[in-house]
Amino acid sequence: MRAKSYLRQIEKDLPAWSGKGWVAEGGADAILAELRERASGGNVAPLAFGVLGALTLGAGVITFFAANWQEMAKIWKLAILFGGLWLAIAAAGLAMRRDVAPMIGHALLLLIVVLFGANIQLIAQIYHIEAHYPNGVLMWSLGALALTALVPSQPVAIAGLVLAVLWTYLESFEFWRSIHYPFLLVWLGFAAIIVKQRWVPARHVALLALVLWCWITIAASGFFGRSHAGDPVYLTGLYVVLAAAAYVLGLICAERDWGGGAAQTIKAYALILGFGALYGLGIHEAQKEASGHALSTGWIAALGVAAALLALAIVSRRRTGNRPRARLIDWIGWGLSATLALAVAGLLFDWPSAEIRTGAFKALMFAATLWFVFHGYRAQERAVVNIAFAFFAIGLVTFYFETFWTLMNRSFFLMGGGVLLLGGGYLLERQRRRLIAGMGEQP
Amino acid sequence: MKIGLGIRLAALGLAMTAVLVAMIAMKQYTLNAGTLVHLETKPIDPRSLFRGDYVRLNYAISEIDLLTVQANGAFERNDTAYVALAPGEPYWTVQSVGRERPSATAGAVILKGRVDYLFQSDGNEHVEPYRTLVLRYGLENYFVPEGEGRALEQPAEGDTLSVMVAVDRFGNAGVTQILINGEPRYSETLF
Repeated sequence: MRAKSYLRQIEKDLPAWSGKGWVAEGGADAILAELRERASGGNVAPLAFGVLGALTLGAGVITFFAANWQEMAKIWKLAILFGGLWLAIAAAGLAMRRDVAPMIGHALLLLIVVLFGANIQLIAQIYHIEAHYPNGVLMWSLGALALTALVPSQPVAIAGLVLAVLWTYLESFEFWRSIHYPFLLVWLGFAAIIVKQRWVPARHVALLALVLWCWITIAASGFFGRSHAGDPVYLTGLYVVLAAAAYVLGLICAERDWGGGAAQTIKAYALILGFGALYGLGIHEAQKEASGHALSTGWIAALGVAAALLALAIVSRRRTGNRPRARLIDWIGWGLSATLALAVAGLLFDWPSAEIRTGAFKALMFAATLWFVFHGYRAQERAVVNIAFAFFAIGLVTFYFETFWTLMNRSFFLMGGGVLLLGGGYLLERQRRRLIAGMGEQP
Repeated sequence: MKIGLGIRLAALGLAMTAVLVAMIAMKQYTLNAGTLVHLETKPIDPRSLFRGDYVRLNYAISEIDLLTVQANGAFERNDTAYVALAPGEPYWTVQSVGRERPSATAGAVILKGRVDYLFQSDGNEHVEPYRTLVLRYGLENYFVPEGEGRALEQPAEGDTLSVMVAVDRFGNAGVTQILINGEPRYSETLF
């Protein structure tokens, strides 16, 4: 799949490069022929079947033993559990060493992870171990981390990240941890391997996991943690600033070619986190909850550090190479950023009223999504345009529901909502497709 | 120097095996080295003590009346609490409960638990004040062979269910025996 997307990108870029004389005559055809041959060879089907097979085999093993478990003596249960694990390890080693079917080898590595988790749960059941059960999920995830560190495997890394998210979810919602910091340590372990190996799907899963963790911390601090009212709002404001810093980091990575192509992915997820956080700051109930509560020095310090990171990122970017002269859209962007900074700072001082803060953040979100639509169009970045459009649409629908839910008769409200969704959705999608198509024709 | 694939996988296998063996070893340490404590149970559902192969156990020490025992510290959900148990006949009873581990008095055992709930009221003209701490000790679920539990779903009138628990010096506990009328019905072994 990577080879095919790389081929598509090269097919787009080569004519321009040949025109500029960067590629010798005949060289372009040779490059394309080579890449087409590579792209036709790779096939993800064996991996997909292998992964499915591993999961099905694991499930079959588990259900077989579940049906016959009670009749077995403990010694036999342990023999089966440990024996099965070592059998999977041996099979994975055989498959990958002989290079007969490396895809099957990766599926067997995934089976090792499944069996390790099953062993943890079954041993806990056999010996009536009823400790802090999220620790079992943590051990499971760390097992996947150790495996992918020793034998790099993208399916294993993805499985480990999913387990890590499950672990942090359990700790946050079942045991009321407001901000579950240890997740970040485990996440960094997986991220380091993913960056080193330059895995693209795993990169998406890692960044999505981080965004999910941010959402979990907001939800947990608001509803389950021993927090002060308003903590979720301050945390959300912090994430807006950090998302902006991450976006600028993405810009730096793109310009300095760091991270093996991770720049676009970092920017996309930074946008998702930033827009999502802005959306959250525009919820009136949340802002009302925050009003009138003294802000601790901890939050002020955290926001200060985030602002410093953002400033550092901006200064670092401005130092790289020649910068084109700023255009009007850039000045609008700077203006929006300054307004956003003031609005987030407004959280610190508990002024103005919750209604004004809510309105300000809603307006900022609409303005920011529109700005990024135009910025993405100008920079030829489809993902930026698509994400901005999506959040613009979400904001519009939410605004309609919030504004007209109490003002209109229920049936008119629903009919109007249907027209908005159908008609508005069609118009937005048509406009988005026009923009995307127009980006392809830009010189 | 690049380490071979076989060595790396073997190292991983050993590490995973060590983790799983450590789980068993820690539990067995508690059962073998801990002090035996006889606990009274209180049925969760008097009509169905056993649900197939999975038993839910509720203990007399699971709900502690903080107005009648020595209580130290404020309790919130998911806090760790240390319960000092004193030997009694036939069951051990709560001596004190606190957020910090107390130094054990002679003959007493310190059991570690997690706060589930704290019910409290200052009372009014209709209701007496109360302050009840609900704890979990990791002893609340017990697996029994399928079918054997069902035979005990309707215990005969007068039958009592109690549990023998081992508590180690760290406050961790494990069920060693399930007793019916003082006679062992299920016992824990390594194999």
